[in-house]
Amino acid sequence: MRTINRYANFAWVATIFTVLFVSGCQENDPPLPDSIANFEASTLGMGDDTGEIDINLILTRAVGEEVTIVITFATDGLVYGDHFTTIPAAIDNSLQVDIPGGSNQAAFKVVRNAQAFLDGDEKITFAISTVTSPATPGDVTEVQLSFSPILSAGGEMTLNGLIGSEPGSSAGNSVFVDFSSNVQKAVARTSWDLGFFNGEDFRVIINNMSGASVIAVDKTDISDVSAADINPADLAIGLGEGHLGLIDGVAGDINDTAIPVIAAADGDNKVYVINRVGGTGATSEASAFEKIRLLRNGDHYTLQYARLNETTFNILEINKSGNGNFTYVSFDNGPVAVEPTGSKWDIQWGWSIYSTENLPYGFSDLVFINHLSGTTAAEVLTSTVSYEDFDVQDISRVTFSGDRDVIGSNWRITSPPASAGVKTDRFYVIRDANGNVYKLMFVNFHGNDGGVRGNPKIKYALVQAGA
Amino acid sequence: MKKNFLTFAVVLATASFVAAQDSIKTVLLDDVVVTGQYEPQSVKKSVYQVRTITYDRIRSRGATDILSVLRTELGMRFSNDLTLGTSDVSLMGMGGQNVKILLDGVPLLDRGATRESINQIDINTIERIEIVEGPMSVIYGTDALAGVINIISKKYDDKKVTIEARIQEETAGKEYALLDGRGVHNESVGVTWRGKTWNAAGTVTRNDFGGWQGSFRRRKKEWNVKDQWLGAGSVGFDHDDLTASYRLNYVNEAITAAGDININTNVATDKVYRINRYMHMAQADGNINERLSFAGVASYQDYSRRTQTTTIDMTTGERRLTIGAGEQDEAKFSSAMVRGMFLYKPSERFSWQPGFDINLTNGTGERIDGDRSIADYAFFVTSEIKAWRSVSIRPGLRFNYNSVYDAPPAIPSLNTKLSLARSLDLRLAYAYGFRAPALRELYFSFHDASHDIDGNPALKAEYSNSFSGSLAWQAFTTPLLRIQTTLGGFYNTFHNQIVIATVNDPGQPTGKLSRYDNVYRSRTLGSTLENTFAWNAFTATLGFSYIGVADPLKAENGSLDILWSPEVNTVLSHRFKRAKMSASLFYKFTGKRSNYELATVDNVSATRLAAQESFHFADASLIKKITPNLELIGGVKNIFNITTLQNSSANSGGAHSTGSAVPMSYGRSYFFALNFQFTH
Repeated sequence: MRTINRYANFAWVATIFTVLFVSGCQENDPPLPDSIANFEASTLGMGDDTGEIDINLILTRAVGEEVTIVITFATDGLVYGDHFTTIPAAIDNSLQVDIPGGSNQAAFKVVRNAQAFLDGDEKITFAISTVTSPATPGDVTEVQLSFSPILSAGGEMTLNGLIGSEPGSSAGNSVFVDFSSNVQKAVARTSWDLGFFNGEDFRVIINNMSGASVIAVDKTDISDVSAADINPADLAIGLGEGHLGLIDGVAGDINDTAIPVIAAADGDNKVYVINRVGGTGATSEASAFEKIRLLRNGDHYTLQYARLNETTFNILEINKSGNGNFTYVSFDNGPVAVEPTGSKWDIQWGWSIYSTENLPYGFSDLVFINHLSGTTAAEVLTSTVSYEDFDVQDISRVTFSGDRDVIGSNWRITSPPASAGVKTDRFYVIRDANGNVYKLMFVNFHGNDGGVRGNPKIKYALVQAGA
Repeated sequence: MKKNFLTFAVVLATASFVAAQDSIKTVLLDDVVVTGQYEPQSVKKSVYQVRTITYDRIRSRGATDILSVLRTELGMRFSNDLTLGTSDVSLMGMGGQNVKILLDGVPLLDRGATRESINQIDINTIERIEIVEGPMSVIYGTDALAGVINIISKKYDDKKVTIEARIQEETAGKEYALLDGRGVHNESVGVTWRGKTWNAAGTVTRNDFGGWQGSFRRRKKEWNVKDQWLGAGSVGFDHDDLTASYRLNYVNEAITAAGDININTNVATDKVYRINRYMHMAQADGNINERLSFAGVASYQDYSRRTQTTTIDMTTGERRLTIGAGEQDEAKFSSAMVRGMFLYKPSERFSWQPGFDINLTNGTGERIDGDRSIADYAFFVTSEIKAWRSVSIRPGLRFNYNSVYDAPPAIPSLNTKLSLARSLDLRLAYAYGFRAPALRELYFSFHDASHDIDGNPALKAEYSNSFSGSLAWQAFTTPLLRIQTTLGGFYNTFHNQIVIATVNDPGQPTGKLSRYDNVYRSRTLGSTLENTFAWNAFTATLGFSYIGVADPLKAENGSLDILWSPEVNTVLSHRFKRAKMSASLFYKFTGKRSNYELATVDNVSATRLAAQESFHFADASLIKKITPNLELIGGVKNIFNITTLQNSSANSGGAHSTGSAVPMSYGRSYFFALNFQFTH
């Protein structure tokens, strides 16, 4: 009997321990963030030169199932079908947009009827009517589309840096942002190889967004150049490899390109070999290198190009269009659209080859301004004036700079990881090519500051409209 | 929950206290060791040179983890990864992956090279720690290149019912809050019952470290918060010639890295690493007849480590999981092992010990390419020959087969012990050591913007040739006066050391492939001198070591230049019989540690010598017996107030250690503990 009692006592103690123990170890996961559906911007404009516009719908978090959003619209001075249409088509001023499962955005198009004569003061107001579960409507459920360029008063924007599941530190897109029109344009960084300057000089840039590098071969016949003419390792840049002569000047000075100005006399233009994607201290295989020769053709350019070991080559004529800073060319696809034309962008965000300690070095999240179109910018420390308080009177106290990298990587910390985040002690003021002054704050950009690497969130507001 | 537990602990302790009858007895095991032995054996008789850290010493240090007990041992050094909240051990100049950590002879599962398992054992269940330097690969297999740390759990022989409870409160530097939050809080209750043939025991312990804010402000801490729940339960059977037991150890650990508030959004991001570790262990020992006995152990370990990232909105208090790549992750590892040994003693002078050892390991998640398994089968035999009365020779041989890599087919060892005089023992040993490629080295996979790192299924095992000797002199061994001196020396050469080698590979997105490869040779050599002096109630130990390690960077170029580092340690303790008190001081000097590095200074890349500064570390404590069942311990840890060590490296400041200061501790701390023990 005593023994049984002992067993019983032990069992009692053991049970208590077990209960305490198990209850001490319960873990309840917090929920995932809500998936909220918003328009990307609350005001958008279509100038006379714009035939169609994408209106983006964003989910704050992608969900597994397809999300269907029903949008209704009201027009002011416009008739659907006569003056404009939408893709997908609308019925009774209502259209449906599906965001596929796993995706966090979708868009519909508004297409201007080319025959329609408009004054420019016409408007359409789109509104999110219903959103299917689990997504819910958010704060920006209306967007007003004007049929003339707008001057945005400000907004918030999450940049579409990621193409797929690539790490945010090497986000595949470069994103151009135009504050005044509330528009961002994401371009795959490796979608182009050469940019032909549309200004006065005959200058060609290589792709700094992909970490391309270039060396000259002392030959003028492109067919005569092969892997035997170069040492592939000489093209390696980044992580201590290479030198700044292999890339275009990181300050964006058009007179400081790696390929010198194209000479008028063809005999003076050498063959160049390009490693198309780099920046990690190594190169692609030599057979993936491209050889090029650049010539003038009156007021235009002629490009000869081929894979390094090919004996035949392609020829492409590139006109100086005067439309935008550069005309872009891909060795795979010929002419391609990259940066928005002219002054239709203010800042560019993304990975780029840059320099540190006088060596080429790849930087994530670099922000460049549209310096070639005349955009200028300045950094303001919140110890002088806060983002919220900064207004017209403060503009005169700011010294604007036309350096492309005036924002650069100064706005964020990446290392050590536990300290990574946007620098909250500063913001930026940007005077765009049209003289509009915006203030710009980086809200977050990294898992450590509540953001997502590759999808930085920015906030901007108009301080002063241009003359 | 924590409050409930405390209340319960206090009630239990008080109740038992009232009923107290027996007195706390200091368990004196007279330096009996088990590591590598056929059966428990006195240190003097062992052919291995074994160092033991007794229960008394563990208790008197007010230790809350094993690391703090080993901190002042010769040849032991530690490094801390503050980002992950883990610590790693090195022994005799070799890193953690070369140190085998055993719990009652069973190897502890670790997910990587870092021996974080050593701090996932409940200190309150530990009887003693045995340290054997040099490879014990014949019996214990892989990883034991530098040595073995065998943690022996409490057995409570001859007691019917034992109840133990402990409450310890400790500051973390100057930071402290009562019972919860800042500081270190360790509370434990354990019950043991031992019947005629059956026995059972259970322990539950909370071991919380509130982190250390140090120079950081607001939510961030220099040392992350670490909360542990540790539980153990066992059932045993002991009858005539058979002893068998089952034991389960459970660890729940959460390391929390709180992030700063992003003032733009009023949102903060926190990271929690949640570890769940189950260790099942079954043991059986028995005598088949007078000449033949057996000992077997089987274990199954299950380990999971979850990375959980959340944001907390400081305005609403709402906490949400984050959605960025890699921010929610889980790694799972498991291992199963069986080891059986037979001891056959045809005569007093000669014995055989054949045995087998099977280890199965499985891993998935976090940077492991797929779901991978390794199986390792070994047969070994050792024999002890007492050639003359003064000479013992113990040759050993192990045969291995591994399902993945080419294991060394035969592993020999030879240990000898010569009694030169009654009080003078000479031990000489040769051993072949090996370290099997770990799962992560075979199947690693990590690809991002600037990394392409892969495992290498073609890896071979690292191996070493190890020579060691020691001379132990027991000058006096009377109850009143005891003087002992042991002089030891070792020389090890290592081959095929596995490192990450980088080669250009245009097929990779970054153009480079880093892969685990057998590259280095290395060597270590050194000498230790350990002295014990005991006079009446006073005991002093004084040890010196001078250990040299081949520099890894130089080894890369084929030269095995040795860089030396000295250590001195001492333990002083005195028992005040009248006052029922004892005082102890633990001290260690750790010399400067140097290494060559390739550094770019002023745009010139060159090989230069960098060094981590030397430091002094000391703890002191007082134990006072208040009643026969209750004792009070108070003390100071880290008297020299060490926080970080300066490193003259030009390259330091990597992703996992910030700046050129190497984190060592969180400064001078004070502790106070109540230990309760009741036996009936």
